[in-house]
This record gives sequence, structure tokens and C-alpha cells, in this order.
Amino acid sequence: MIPLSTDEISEAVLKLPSLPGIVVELFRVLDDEDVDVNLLSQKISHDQGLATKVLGLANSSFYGMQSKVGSIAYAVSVLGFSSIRALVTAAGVAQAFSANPSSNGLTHAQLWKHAIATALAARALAKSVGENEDQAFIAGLLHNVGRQVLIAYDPIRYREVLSWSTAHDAELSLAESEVLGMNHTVVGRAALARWNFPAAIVETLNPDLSGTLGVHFKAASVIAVADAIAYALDLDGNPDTQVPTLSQAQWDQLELNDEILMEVFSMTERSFEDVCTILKAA
Amino acid sequence: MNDAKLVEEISLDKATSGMVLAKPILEKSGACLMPARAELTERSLHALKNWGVLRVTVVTSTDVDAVEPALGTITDQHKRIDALFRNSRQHDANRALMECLRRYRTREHHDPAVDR
Repeated sequence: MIPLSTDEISEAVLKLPSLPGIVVELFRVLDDEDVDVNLLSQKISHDQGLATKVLGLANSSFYGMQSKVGSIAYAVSVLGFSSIRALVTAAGVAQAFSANPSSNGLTHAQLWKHAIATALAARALAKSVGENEDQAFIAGLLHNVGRQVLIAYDPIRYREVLSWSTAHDAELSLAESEVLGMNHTVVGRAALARWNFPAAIVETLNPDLSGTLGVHFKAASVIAVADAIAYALDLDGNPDTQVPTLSQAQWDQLELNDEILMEVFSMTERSFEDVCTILKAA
Repeated sequence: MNDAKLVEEISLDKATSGMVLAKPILEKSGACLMPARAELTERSLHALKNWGVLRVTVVTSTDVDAVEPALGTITDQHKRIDALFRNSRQHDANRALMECLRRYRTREHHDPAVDR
């Protein structure tokens, strides 16, 4: 075992690609009630790559809109600013990582596919259990961002994690703990903090703070169950995939039944291919 | 697993009777309107239009045997579910999720087409 040092984590996080300026700006105005939506819409439109992805998502099966959404301003008016902010964040993160030349090609696609499937399942689950859908989508998309950071930082060392996982038929998180001495959530938290993500999302992905008494416990349960559903639906294209063990407390808290789960399965499968294509994870 | 050359998603107005569905048509609730492998007829096309279905995924290859592996049989899917839950099925929450997924996959295949 060659544990990862604190210095190395800092270094890995410093090497992170930067997010498009508009994404950072959207975080800053998260709690600002007097936010100038028109001005922000204009700024989103000016980043062409980002705007194309946002409009692609708005026009995909993700929303199932009947009429064509042709502009960011129109998208904001029909889908709401909160939804557009989530789409911009998703597109921004996808863009930042696609520009990352050092990521390991093979598992990079599988990781993104899993992240997208988790995001879609989280959004559908949140809707059913009365949690914020947009935040669940973003948290789902980023729940394994630490893994992407680890792979980008030291692909050779991460290959040892993969080998250990294969040899022991174990989940990646367990293999990470064995080989690197920590699991990816530690690095993920550092990465989101560096990107100035809102506390509500960082804490949802923080197992220490989201214990039974934490305010974000339910949101964290949504992500944990969405993660298992994403693996169960077998969407990441990895033949060795396995469903991680769910916490009974988190599962019970959502009080899911067949009807809700089947709708979540169906909604996730329905927009998966579209969203992957638009965010270029295919 | 689906081979793009064997199956294709098309808009409903391009679908014609005689085409074979490569994926089931599901309602928003997840309920199956038509299962995979069902052949489209004038009547079912009309019904799908009334249900507001916009796109369908159909078999585009004439060689049905070549398409079969892409569709996957229900037995294959159940085997795959067993594999996915190989290390977690002994936990109650995982088993509940697995059993619901099994019912979901079975329904996709075996629900009677509404219009036949």
C-alpha cells in the first residue's frame, strides 16, 4: 500500500481544470434574490460551447418539451432560472473535464456515464421524495468527482486501485481505501471546495456531516440510492460493475415503493443516451 | 449493448406498420405500453400517436437473428441482475432494490401490448 499524502491531495486539487467563469459566477449569486437574470442569461449565451450544451439538454428527452427552446433567455423563462443554473453547472463541469488531457481514456467514459446515470436517477428520486431536483442532479453528477481527480493526478497509481478491485472483486471505494489509504470522497470534497461549490452540495456529498442528525441527510440518501440505482441499471458500460451495499437507514428514509422506483428507472433510462451525447460522455 | 446499425430511434411519423420494436414503449409511470419485439400495426401506430408517443426504437436490420443478441433475452437480463448484485444481495435494502428491478425488467418484456 502506498497511501496518498495530504500534500499530494492538495497538489491533485491544484491541478484541477478551472470551471468556466459563468459557472463560478452563478454559485456566487445562489442566495442573491436580486440577481439580474437577464444579464446572467446574456453571459451564458456568450459562452458558445456552454450555451450549446444547455440548449441541447433543454431540448432533449431530459425535459421532454414540446416546443423548441432556441435561446437561453427563453430556456430560463420556461424552465426557470434554478434549472438553467443546474444545466450550466453540468455543462461547465463536463467541459472542464473534457479539456483534461491526462485523464485515463478507458475509465473516464465509464465514470462519466455513471455520473450522468446517478444524476438522472437522483433528479427523479428527489422529485418523488420532495427534495430539490436541481441540487440532486448536480450532486449526483459530481458524487464521484474525486475519483476523476485521482485518475487525472496519477493514472498509473490508480491502475493499481483498479487491479486490486478486480483481483478482490471489490467495489472501487474499498479498493481506494486499501491502495491509497483513503476513498475518493475526501478528494472530491477538496475539489468542490476549490471550485467554490455551494455548501448545500458539498455537504450532501460529505458522509461525515450528513449523519442521521445532519440537515442534508435526506439529500445524501437520495444520492446514495441514486448511485446504487445507476449501477443496477447497468448504464456505465463496465462489464465488472457491481451494486454497492446500501445503508439500510438511508434506504428506509426515502420510503420508496415499486411505483416510485419503476418511474425512477424509466426516467433514468429514457434520457440517459441523450444527456450522454450532449455532455459528450458517449 | 445495442448496436447502432441494428436498431434505430426514429420519430413516430417515420414509423410504419410491420416494423419491429427494439425497445419497449414505456409510459411516464414506467408502465409498458408495448413490449420489445412487438410488431407495429396501423392500429398500434394510431394508438401510440394518441398516447403522445413521439419516438420509437425499431429494428432496422432485416436479419432478425443478428438483432436478437442486441435485444437481450429476459433470462440474460436476470443473469445480469444476479451478477450486478453478486456482493450486495444479502443486505435487505439491496435485495429490495434488486427485486424491484427484476419486476421492472420482466414487465418490459411480458406486459401485453395494449393494442393487439
